[in-house]
Formats: sequence, C-alpha cells, structure tokens
Amino acid sequence: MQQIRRNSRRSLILSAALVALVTASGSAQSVSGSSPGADALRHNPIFGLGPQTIWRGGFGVALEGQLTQRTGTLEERGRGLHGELIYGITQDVNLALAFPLVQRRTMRGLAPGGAQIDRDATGLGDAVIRAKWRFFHSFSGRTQYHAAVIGGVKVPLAEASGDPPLGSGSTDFLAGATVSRDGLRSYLWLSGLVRVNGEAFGRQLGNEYRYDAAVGLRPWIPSFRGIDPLFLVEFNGVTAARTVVDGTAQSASGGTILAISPGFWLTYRNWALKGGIKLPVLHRLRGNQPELDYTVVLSIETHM
Amino acid sequence: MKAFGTTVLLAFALGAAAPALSAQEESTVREDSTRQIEVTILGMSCPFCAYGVEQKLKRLDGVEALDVVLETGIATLTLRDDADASNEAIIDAVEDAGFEVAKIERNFESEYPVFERATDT
Repeated sequence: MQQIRRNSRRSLILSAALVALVTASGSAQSVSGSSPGADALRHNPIFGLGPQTIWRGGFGVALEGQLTQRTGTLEERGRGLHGELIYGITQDVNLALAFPLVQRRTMRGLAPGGAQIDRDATGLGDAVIRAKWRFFHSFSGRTQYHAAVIGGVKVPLAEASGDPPLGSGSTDFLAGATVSRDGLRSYLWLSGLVRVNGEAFGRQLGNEYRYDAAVGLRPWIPSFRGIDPLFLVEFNGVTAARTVVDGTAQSASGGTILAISPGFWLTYRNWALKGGIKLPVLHRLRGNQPELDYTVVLSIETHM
Repeated sequence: MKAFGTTVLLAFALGAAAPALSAQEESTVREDSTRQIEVTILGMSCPFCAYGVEQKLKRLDGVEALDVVLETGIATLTLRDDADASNEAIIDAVEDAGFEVAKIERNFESEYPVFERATDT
C-alpha cells in the first residue's frame, strides 16, 4: 500500500509538471518550412535525426511546440504547435505523421523596399509524412549501435498566399541518414538530411542540407521504473541554396547557419519530455536576410 | 520564457529525486518456489526503450509479473503455477521490441534448455 501511495504521489507530481510544461509551450510554434526536420521518435536529438525506432505494433503520440525568432531590418517570429503519430510496422520500420495544429507568424520592421510593415497571420501549418528504416543494428552488452535511413514528404496544408504566408505551398521531399551509439551512460548521434523543395506560385525555395552531431549524457544509470534524465549538446547546421522566383535566383536568399543546441530528455516509463534551444554561432547568409536569434522546441511524447 | 524555465527546472528537480525512490520500488521479494525465467537482453540502455520489451514479454502466456534491471540487462519473468514460455516465444518477443536475447535461464525444471547466444555479451 505504501508503495502504491508513493507511486500515486509521484505520478501526480509528474503529471502536474507535464501539464505545466505543455501549458508553457502552448504559445510556441514552427515557422513554415522549418519543421520537416523535426523528429519526435524516441531518444533522437532535439534538432537532428536518430535511428531509434518504436517496437513492432507500437504506437507513439507526441505534441510539439516550437518558437523561432529572426532579427534583421525585419523582425520575424514564428510559433507553432503540431502533433505526431508514430507506428511501428516492424521493430525496424516506422511510419510517422506530423500533423499541424496551429501556427502563427509575425513580421515587423523595414521591408526590403524600405516600407514599414507589421503583419501577423495565424492558421494551419504543413503536414509531414515520414518513414524510417533501421537497416543496421549491433549489440555489445548494454550498448547498441544502429543506423537508419529516413524518407518523407511535406504536404502543403499551410496558407501560402497570405501576408505573411504560413507555408511555401510546395510539396517537398526529405531524405536523411543517421547513426548512433546508445549506451547506459552516454549517447552519440550523427545525422544528415536533404530537403528537396518543390515549386509553387512560380517560387521555389532553395534545397536545404541539414546536419547534426549530438552527445547525450546521463547523470546516473537509470532504473527501469525511475525517472531517466538525459542531457544533450548538439552541434548542427543548415545550408540552403538560393530561392528561385520565376526562373531568377534571388540575391538575398540561401546561406549557412551553424548552431549549438543544449537540450534534455526526461523520461518516465512510456512518457517523455524533450526540449532544447538552438543558438546560432555562425551566420553566412547571402544578401540582406534576418539572422536566426534562437529556436526553442518542447515536446511531450508517449508510447503504447 | 520564464514559465518555461521554471517548469524545466521543476522537471529536473523531479528527476534528481528519482534514484532513491526507484531503488526502493525495485526491491522485490522472491520466494524460492516462484517460477521465474531470467532473460539477458542485449542493447537495452534506457527505460523508455525497455518499455517495449516489457509490453512484449508481459503478453506471453503464463507471465504474471516482470522486472527489468537495466544495469545488468536482465528481465525476470515471474510465471503462474505450472506455466512456462518457450525460448522461441521469448526471443521473438524481445526481437519484436528491437533487441536481442543473450541468455535464457529458468529456476525450475523445464522442457526448454538454457539458451545462450554464441556472441559476446
């Protein structure tokens, strides 16, 4: 009875913390086009991909909030909330659907022509369908080495003709690869993702190349029925080609951003919280473009 | 952002309190007469991943309770009276969860032999 009471008390405290975290992320969001790399599959880095998969027949449900701010002559802020469903077709092949809930984008400041603008749009974001194939795994004691490839498609659901637009309106394709070493005390990940952007309304965003290296450390060896914290540091970047409008490459588009991203995973049984902040350390952007200030991600996930 | 910071700190504080509680929880009383199968599992490094192992092993016929110790990688199945689970069923369940079985041992007479994978553990 004492143990049951202890469990109930801890579940209550944990639930309160989860509710508080979700509430805190309620105003968060994803800027259109910045979220297809997001991957809520278990023990993946926050801003990169991982080869970890859910078990055969297992379901996962996640809710993720994102907040991104960019500043230049124009200040741009994006907030979004999306859900994600994950299914384990086999222990090595998973399908995931990231579906949009709400997205808000604001732009304030001086437009390229010199006019003062103050725009705000709220609506649906884009959806992403992804498949992951873990094609290699090897075990040594409690340590696991595995590798996976990922393919996906972004389905344009967001309003693309608004002011500001919430999405590009294009159907984009994703392809990525990832490897990791999972140990009792530490994790290492490497991943790369290519996003091939389609054309819509005569405009084609430049293709994106995302890369991520991450280290995760546990302060203690976890127990099966205990809370398991994992602290992460990611080094990531994105390089984008120029945007093409009506056949003309735009001078103020494309470039590279490198960032460092501290984050955390906190899991209890089949529940997980993950969060992190991407802080840029290098901007090499072509032309006059707003620079990334930060991106914050917070998500809650459960497997069943 | 302030609310975010506060809640993250709260979550970490909860995490810091976990080991003492979970260590108490995991102490289980096992009588000699209890039929148990010890399954040594490779690659199981986190409780979130091990949850899948639990879901699969708990569904085997005759399994009454399950305990997992991540540090040793051993899952202990407690069986109902006269129940048993085949090595094949156990291996399938663990592999469906994404892991591999290194060893299966029983503390009672069984038609199934001790299983040991011929690799490093």
